[in-house]
Amino acid sequence: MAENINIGNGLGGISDREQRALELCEAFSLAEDKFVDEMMSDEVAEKIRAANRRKTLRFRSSVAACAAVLAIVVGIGVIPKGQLKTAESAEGANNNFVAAEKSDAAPQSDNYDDYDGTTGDKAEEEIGFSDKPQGAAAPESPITTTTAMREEVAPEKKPKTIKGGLGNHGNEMTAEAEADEDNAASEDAESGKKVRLAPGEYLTRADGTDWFVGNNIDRKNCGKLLYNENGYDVYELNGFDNGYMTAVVRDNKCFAAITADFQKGSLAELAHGLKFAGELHCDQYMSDGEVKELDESVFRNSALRILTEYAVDYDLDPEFKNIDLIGDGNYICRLGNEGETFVEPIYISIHDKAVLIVCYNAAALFVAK
Amino acid sequence: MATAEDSRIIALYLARDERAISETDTKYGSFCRAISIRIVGDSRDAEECVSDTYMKTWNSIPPQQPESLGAFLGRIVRNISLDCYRKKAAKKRQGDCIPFEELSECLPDTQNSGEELTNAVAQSLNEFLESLPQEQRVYFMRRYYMNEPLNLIAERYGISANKLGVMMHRLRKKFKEKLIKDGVCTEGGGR
Repeated sequence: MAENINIGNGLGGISDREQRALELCEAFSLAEDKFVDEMMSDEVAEKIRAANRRKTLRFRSSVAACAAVLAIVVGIGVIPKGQLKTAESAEGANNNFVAAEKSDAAPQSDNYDDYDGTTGDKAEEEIGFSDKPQGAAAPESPITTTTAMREEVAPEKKPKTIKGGLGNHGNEMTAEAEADEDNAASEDAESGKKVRLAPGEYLTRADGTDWFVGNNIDRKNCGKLLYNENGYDVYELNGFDNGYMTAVVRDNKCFAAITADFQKGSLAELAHGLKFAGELHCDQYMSDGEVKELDESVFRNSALRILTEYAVDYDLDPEFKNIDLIGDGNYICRLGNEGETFVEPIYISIHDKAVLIVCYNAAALFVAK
Repeated sequence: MATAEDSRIIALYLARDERAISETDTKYGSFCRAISIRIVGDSRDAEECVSDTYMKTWNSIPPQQPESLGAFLGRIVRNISLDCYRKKAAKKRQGDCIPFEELSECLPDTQNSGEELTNAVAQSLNEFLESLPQEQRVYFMRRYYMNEPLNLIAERYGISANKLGVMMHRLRKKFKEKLIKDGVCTEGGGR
């Protein structure tokens, strides 16, 4: 959408199309007074902000639960059978999150508060993973409360399927394993306060210079590459002495800068950094029983269901059409009618036992039972 | 219904007390300037438009006694600014924020023009706005009445610019369907 256009061709006059747009613009002057008053009202603005915050809070508790679920699920995937440990000590994992955990990135500061209000969505500063212990903020996760334990399988990232012995309820957890699981969940949920920026916004470094979240990023000098996931590089940025700032980058374009601690590197947290996760719309669970294969049609149907529900909530037309497989094994969904320019890609990120589908500000987490 | 403060300012106009202008500027100056500069794209022109707005308001009250001073001023400053924009149409300009591309999606083709078109559109517009949930109506008005950039609207209401952009796209489409249904325009080239 072009917000500014040059008009005129130097020869005088404006085009017919611009003229019609201008006349439409003029018609807005005849909008009823009550609509103008409502538009100007700070009370109405606060009411709408509060409503948007409530949607965010609903997401927050869901995400905290899902983050815990995911941490456990990912952790299980790298643990040798019978010896449950935290994900940080896993060996031989090909999971990039583990690589991030082994990084010597500094923990985030508790003082990383929002700054002067020139950046970001205020409501979304509340988004993210609770800094309270997991149990305080989030509803119970079916994974953390179950005493059953699935067989672990070698972590293997397959673009289309989730296979393997995702056995359901046969094995018992040891007491140590349960404790480790709880710790993993708590640690993941104890991320500090998060501040998220979108492209165009900026931060001020310790030396007073500004760092912009924009289209271009100097990969060589911006900071340290932590890890890559789904084609996105996560960098720890230089120059932020009072905190730990990460940038999410793809094709030299920075999508977001957040203060999140990516050591756990949960999918939902990364999605948050990709500015897609403003609201966890729903979390779903796969069908009962052992999941042998999650075929493409399940992905498509699941994504469409999420998007449809999202559309209903926001009174949008659910004109979702295509889900395309892109080169790195992920999918994108194209919104709109056939032939219409798609507005936003939707990422379906697949890991060994969990699938996260993220689009706009909706996300859904699928966990195998 | 006029707020207490608006009533007080209007009383100053009625009493021909020149403090009415300064009080108006204090309360509504930034609102008027924001509207104007987003239309004319030049701060000096915008200041001139705002001054003209105050003059016209001074000359209009009395006999008029608007219920909503904000809406009254908004209407005047928009019209003055759009007139200024038209007068300068021959010159290339940068910086104005009228979302021409977006608005032209809503009105692809019409037989009407001028005041007849404006009135027809206005009627459909008000019916359309009435039909919307408050949140969407407010966003729509801020975008196309105030020509406010999406990121500022998003910040004011605690919504992401992405979501807002999608919502605007859908609302424009609905508004276009409304205009076609009301016979204000026909399904033309569109976007």
